[in-house]
Amino acid sequence: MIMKAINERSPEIWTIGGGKGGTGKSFVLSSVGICLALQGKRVILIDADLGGANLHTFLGINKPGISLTNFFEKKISLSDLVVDSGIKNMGLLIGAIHSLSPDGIKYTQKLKLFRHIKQLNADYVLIDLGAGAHFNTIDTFLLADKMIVVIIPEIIAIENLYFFLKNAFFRQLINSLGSHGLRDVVQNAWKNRAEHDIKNFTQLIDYLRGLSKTMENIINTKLSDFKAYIILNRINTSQEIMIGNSVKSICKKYFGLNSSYVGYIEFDPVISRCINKRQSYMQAYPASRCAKEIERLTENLLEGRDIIQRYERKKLQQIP
Amino acid sequence: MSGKNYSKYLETLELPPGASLSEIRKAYQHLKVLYSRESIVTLPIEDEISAEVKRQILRQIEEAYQGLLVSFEKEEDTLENEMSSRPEMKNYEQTSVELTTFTGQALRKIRERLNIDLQDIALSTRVQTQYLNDIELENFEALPPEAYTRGFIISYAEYLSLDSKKVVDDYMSRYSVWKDEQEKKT
Ligand SMILES: Nc1ncnc2c1ncn2[C@@H]1O[C@H](COP(=O)(O)OP(=O)(O)OP(=O)(O)O)[C@@H](O)[C@H]1O
Ligand SMILES: [Mg+2]
Repeated sequence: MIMKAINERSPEIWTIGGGKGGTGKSFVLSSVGICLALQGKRVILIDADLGGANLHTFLGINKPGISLTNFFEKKISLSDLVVDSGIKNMGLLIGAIHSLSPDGIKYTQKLKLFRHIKQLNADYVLIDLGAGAHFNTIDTFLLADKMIVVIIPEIIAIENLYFFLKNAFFRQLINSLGSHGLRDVVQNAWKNRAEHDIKNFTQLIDYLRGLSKTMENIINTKLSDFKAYIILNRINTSQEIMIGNSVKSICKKYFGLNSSYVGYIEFDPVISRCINKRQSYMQAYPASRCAKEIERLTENLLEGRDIIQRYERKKLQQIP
Repeated sequence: MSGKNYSKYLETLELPPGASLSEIRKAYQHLKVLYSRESIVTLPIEDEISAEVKRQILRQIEEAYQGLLVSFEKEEDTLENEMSSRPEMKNYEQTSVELTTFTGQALRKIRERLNIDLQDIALSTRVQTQYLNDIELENFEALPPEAYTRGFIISYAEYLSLDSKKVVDDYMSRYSVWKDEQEKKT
């Protein structure tokens, strides 16, 4: 892929995170990428999971020899590092240890990388973040036009998700307060939390809101701009579908954080078998229920809407 | 649908504009359970949220639901020509309050008037559709042991927003008669 000097339009960036490891982020991201590519959209997947870059495995290709390291160390342009993914319309860019890894990257390097990602010649750039809530991971997450989180019906995944989203929101808030010369307000409030009787997210938000009219406005604007897209993966029963609605509700009613529940994916043992056989699931089983569910949630992501519950309900009875 | 707080209420129940009565009912049931019982979704933040906040959320949910029911009733009043083909919500709350006998047949009638499928109830209450059907048919021999049946009927009644105590007491009175007869036979 060749990057033009000036793009007509910068790509839409989707990032995928969520805190907990092993929830299916890489599987979902590669599958959604394939759906978009099959629709004729030009897609670039970026594997920014630097501890365990493995996106290529989900596509059934060998680990590319070139990675983001070359961008930082050899100053090779980002678009020249994009390799063939084996799927039409889709390219792949592999991260590497020391490129985006926690602490392994300087702030200026990070900004440069983000700037270049936004200039890639594609319709969609999908970034896989890996587990954890380190601020470098969060900063990459926040780069997105659409921030996607993957959870599974397990208490730890849900707990990590709340933590992840709260962190993401504060990181974004702090960044934007910086431009108002108020960068340290949040940290200071948290440092002196005992004094202000702040024990949790909501109390911190309330305290900050009370500081000044300006703070209140900034927080309200940031809260209404913030939006995550929730995908519920590995469900075993139709009852579990509603967990997505519940999580969305809790995020809104307890934390004031907006989200859309775009869809769920059933548990399918064939998925790991595909990985082991180095096949891409979406291509090997395009008619499977999971593939259909992924297609639907991709549509919902594109439209920025929630799953259509009336439609889902009809489908329910079919799930064992 | 109109009304001053209509969109605010829908937002509280996390519903899109134009949601149907049956969707409103489902959302209400779902949220009521979510904010009054522990689950994997609420446990991780149990210690962060005060009982007062929870009560307040439940109050808002209740207010939104009741408010929406009222706007549906108003709609019924103005759209008289539609009345014949639509569930008569206007009378529903009233009748169900006045009702004292809750036979399986009566329960089914109420449910059908509300335009609710057994599958919807099954999904939300986790009671199998087949048992719900047996409840409506008063097919006592097919129902599980008494304690379970009691629980099922309470869930069913709550889903329809009926007075579950009244319903279960009345229903189980017939169940007991049947059970006594069974015991006499053996
Ligand atoms: N819907 C599903 N049904 C069955 N297995 C699944 C499903 N989704 C993912 N898996 C399996 O779960 C495992 C973890 O998936 P994946 O590597 O995509 O998770 P991840 O969130 O990217 O993990 P990490 O945080 O380590 O990067 C994989 O082996 C995959 O086969
Ligand atoms: Mg991964």
